[in-house]
Amino acid sequence: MAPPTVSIIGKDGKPSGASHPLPTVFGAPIRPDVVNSVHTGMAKNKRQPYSVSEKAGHQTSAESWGTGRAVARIPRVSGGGTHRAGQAAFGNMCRSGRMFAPTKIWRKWHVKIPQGQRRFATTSAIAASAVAPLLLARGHQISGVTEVPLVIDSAVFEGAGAAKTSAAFKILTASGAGADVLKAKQSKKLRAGKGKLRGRRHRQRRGPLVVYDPNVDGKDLVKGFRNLPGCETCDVYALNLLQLAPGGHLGRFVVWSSAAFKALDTIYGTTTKPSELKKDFLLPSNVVSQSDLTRLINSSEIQSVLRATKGTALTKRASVQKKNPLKNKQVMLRLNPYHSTFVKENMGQQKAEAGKPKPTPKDFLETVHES
Amino acid sequence: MASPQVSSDLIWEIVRSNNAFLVKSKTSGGIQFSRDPMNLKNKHSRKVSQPIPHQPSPEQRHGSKFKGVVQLTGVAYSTPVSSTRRYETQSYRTPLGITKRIYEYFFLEQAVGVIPNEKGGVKVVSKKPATQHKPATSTTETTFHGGKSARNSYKAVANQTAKNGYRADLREAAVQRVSAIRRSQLEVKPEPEKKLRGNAAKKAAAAASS
Repeated sequence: MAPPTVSIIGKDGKPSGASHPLPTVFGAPIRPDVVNSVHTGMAKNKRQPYSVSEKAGHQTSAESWGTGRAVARIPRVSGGGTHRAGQAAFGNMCRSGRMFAPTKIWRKWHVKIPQGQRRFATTSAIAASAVAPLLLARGHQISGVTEVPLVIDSAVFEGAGAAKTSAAFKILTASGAGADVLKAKQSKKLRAGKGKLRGRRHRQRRGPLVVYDPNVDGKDLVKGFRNLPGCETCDVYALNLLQLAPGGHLGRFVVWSSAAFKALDTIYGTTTKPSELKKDFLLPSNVVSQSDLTRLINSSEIQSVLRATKGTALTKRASVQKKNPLKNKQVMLRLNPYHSTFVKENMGQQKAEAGKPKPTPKDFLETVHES
Repeated sequence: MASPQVSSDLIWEIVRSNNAFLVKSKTSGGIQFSRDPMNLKNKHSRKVSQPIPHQPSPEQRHGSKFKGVVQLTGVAYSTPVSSTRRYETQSYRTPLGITKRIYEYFFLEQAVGVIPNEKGGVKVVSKKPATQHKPATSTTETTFHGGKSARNSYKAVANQTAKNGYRADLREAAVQRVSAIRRSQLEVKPEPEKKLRGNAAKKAAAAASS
């Protein structure tokens, strides 16, 4: 069967008539576990080392007072004439003492991730970006999008066609991707906590990721898209997992330029043909070719080796199924043959015999006491 | 079009722990809800239908009646079609008793949602099978206006949900939803004026007489 094709969207947001076969990379296995772990590592690789001052909490000549002064043996600041004198110092439990295990700039900040895993995760994220339900699950507003994956004709970007933000926004709106930008725009909120003071003042949703081919589309569109809230651009030859699967969650909404889309087969190759640009890289293949469980169960291969169920819904499963004797009379009778009489004579409702117990007969007691 | 390896089973496994519609709560035993507009019960769950006991004869099992059976080999680019639907219409049942899996969510080929209409009444949104990758055209909307009697809307919505082999399992849920939406659209009666009692009543009476 011919591989499925994706129609290329023109400037007006409608299919231009041209189409392109779906690159093989979209058939790569979708592995959230791999993507998540690779993302965790990669997200750590842009960190700025920080630490507390080496001297913090140690800029005093405190000495312990020893025992016998009815105070704890923690070092105490020497001297007099100031409130600081006599206060405890150095310990992590002390006010203005050193912190516990002071942070060092030589912490292991970065994580090296094997190249094979990085490539696997990227292909996996690309494959997931073509699955509409996964985009919805990530929260992208794609209900107006003509087709997923969304491929826009490179002719639209030609001659600085998207060099201005208004033009770029028009292109997105025409193809139905505008709603996602608006969502990102409206989502901008002040961050909770100290992050506000540390250069992370606002938080907002991610919008579409525009992937282009710099050889064909040029780099003008980067400037056009960069001021659209939540919108990012990426060179198809340098796709980044942090953008393809933000937060390690699969299903980023990607807008491809047709040139970038066409370049995917050269960049990633197929499962049998190695990539032209990545050394020693073959696309990972799926372990199972059919993941639809219903189809698997109902397939002739499986059905032919299964035996039919024994009996019907009414067949007794005595050894398997426990019946409740309190609800099922027949089971109760099997366990307690007296049950029928018990019920018939309303024995459950009868009162205990009334009155005091009869006194023991006198002659009986006499006989007992005689012996 | 996504690759054939992507089935709703796979998608469910990916999105079940975390997705945009999921509402997790720590109370009530960690109950999980869904904000998915295509989820009529607002429950985050995957359902499996009741097993249907059936004993197919061997020739029935291997015979040509099984048009719905899919070849497992060489599916590199087979077109995914709505398998569940085909089995339903062909009254094909497995000896294991698992006939079909029923879902009701955004990631399925067949789903139906009932949402309030702005001008009163309800809108029924249903998915067209096998157009999942074309979000703009993958749903159809039908409006049932508020002027219709409740019973008529129930019937119309039930028919649309359950007829022609489409989501008969959701008939009841759809009707319940219509009912709830219509109730929410009723005009709120103004509260009757409070009658004064006790000292306040005496004062008011005195003020009125003087």
